[in-house]
Amino acid sequence: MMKASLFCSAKYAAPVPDDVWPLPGTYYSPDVAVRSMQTTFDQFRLADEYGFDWVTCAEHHFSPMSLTPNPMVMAGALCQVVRRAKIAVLGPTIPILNPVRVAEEFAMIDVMSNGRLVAGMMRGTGNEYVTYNINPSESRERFAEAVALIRRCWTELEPFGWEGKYYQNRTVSIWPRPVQYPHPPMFMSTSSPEAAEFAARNGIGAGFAFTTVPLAKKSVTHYRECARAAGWEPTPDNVIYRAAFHVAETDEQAFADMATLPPRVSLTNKNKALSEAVTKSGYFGSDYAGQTTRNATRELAERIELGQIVVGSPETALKQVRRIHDELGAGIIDLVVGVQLGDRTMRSIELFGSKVLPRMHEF
Amino acid sequence: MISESFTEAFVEAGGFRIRYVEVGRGHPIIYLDESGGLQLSRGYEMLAQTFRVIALELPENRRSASIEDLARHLNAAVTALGIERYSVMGTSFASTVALWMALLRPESVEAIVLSAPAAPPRDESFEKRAAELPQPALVLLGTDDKVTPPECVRLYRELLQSCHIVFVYGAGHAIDADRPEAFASLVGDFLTRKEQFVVRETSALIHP
Repeated sequence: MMKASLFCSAKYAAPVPDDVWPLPGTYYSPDVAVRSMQTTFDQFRLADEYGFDWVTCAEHHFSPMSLTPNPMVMAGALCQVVRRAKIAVLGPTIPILNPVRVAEEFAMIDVMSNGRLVAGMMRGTGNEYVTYNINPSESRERFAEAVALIRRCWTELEPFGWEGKYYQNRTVSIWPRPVQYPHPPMFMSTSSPEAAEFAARNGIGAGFAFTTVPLAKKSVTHYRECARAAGWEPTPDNVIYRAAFHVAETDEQAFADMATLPPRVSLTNKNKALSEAVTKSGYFGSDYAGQTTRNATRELAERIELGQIVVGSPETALKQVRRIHDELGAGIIDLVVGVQLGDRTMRSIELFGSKVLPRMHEF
Repeated sequence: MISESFTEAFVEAGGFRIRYVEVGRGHPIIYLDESGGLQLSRGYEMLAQTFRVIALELPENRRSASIEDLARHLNAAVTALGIERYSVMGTSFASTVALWMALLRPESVEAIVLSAPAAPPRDESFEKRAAELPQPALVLLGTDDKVTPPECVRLYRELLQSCHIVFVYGAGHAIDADRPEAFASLVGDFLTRKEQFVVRETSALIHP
């Protein structure tokens, strides 16, 4: 049974420059921000009503691309908005945050949603390291330690201290504690070889976002091999693939809608100095070419071909989703609202939920 | 590497001749190593910058003698060295000996540090005394330790009135050798401030 998640990034719903990071507050209108949040809640509520298995929120800073710099706050609100679907926080940017706080917030969400949390552990994009002034060259080490500490917070019943390399706590004993035992399911981005190895070794689910199906196929194969070497076999439920989506009554309508969408430029690539400094820091690891090309700016037709976006009538969308399922063995598709078009976006969610989702559940 | 102030000697106590090494000056830490040897890793050398570290060699029959007897002899050796107030520290099996030393001399021992300890002995007299021991204990466990399971250190929380577990990230069974800076700073802070070590004292000020 393949599942679908609706990922609405809470995009700022008014035209603003798209080639700048960070974007100055001079472009900001609180009225638009409030309206953007209401639209986001409407879309999540609709997805829940139309049977989406999960809803997704994520962390991005200093950008109108997403108004959820703290996705835990959004997830807390979603506990009330979304009654049935799981709430996937994919995710907090672990290396720039306080891990004990992350463990506590996740635990709160798991309690408030009665065990519906899916806990993403992300390193985030390069620009996020500027946000709280963290050196991106230490990202991987901080990530590994933070994940170990978060897991310890969830599972250790005795108060404990932590003498880490990057984190130091003398007494930790979190309340509340998660509902799910031993802890909520964990996912991380596994596009790089290092990340796939870490996830496999630590029993963490694999996530592929803003990549292509061919690149993800290579990575998921590596992830499965590493998991096998670590003594376990990932199931489709351990693999998430994220793609943008827009569904309309017909292919023609869907493509016409999408024609309004500008090419996607990653946040880091909006700032040349930042992008160069992050690259120099070694942030991308051993597979630099793969990790940077997957984020390249592409036109719509190429993005569809590469499985970066699902566009068309329900029938066409189903075929595209089927291909992702078959090629990657992915059990969850995380569908990003591709374009914000008011009623037509709401209709896209309804069409996917009513016409595509029931058939995906049969995969 | 042992620093230049390192000295090796013998002390006579209760008819036993106990070999020891000593390094540093300050509050005495009586250290017992699981292997029984007197090799001091970098972690202890760093600790010796603030403390007087005295490693006592465990006798060869350490596994056959009763732990209580062993602890009594070692306490006598400490007295023979002219030391009245001290803290005890042990690794692995030697942790239980170090703890026994504290139980026999609660008036002399200030604090207890157990590094990757073996499970406490199931001994009624030991458990009763341990429950009454007011001294604070610090119990360390490396997150990569393949020898000591976390269940072991949890037992000390049940046993002792004041027991602080600290996980040392990235360390295996030999925490002092694997993360010497972390080990020395943590143990040093605990021995200096005891239970108050839970409150951070070092400044986070970036620029005045």
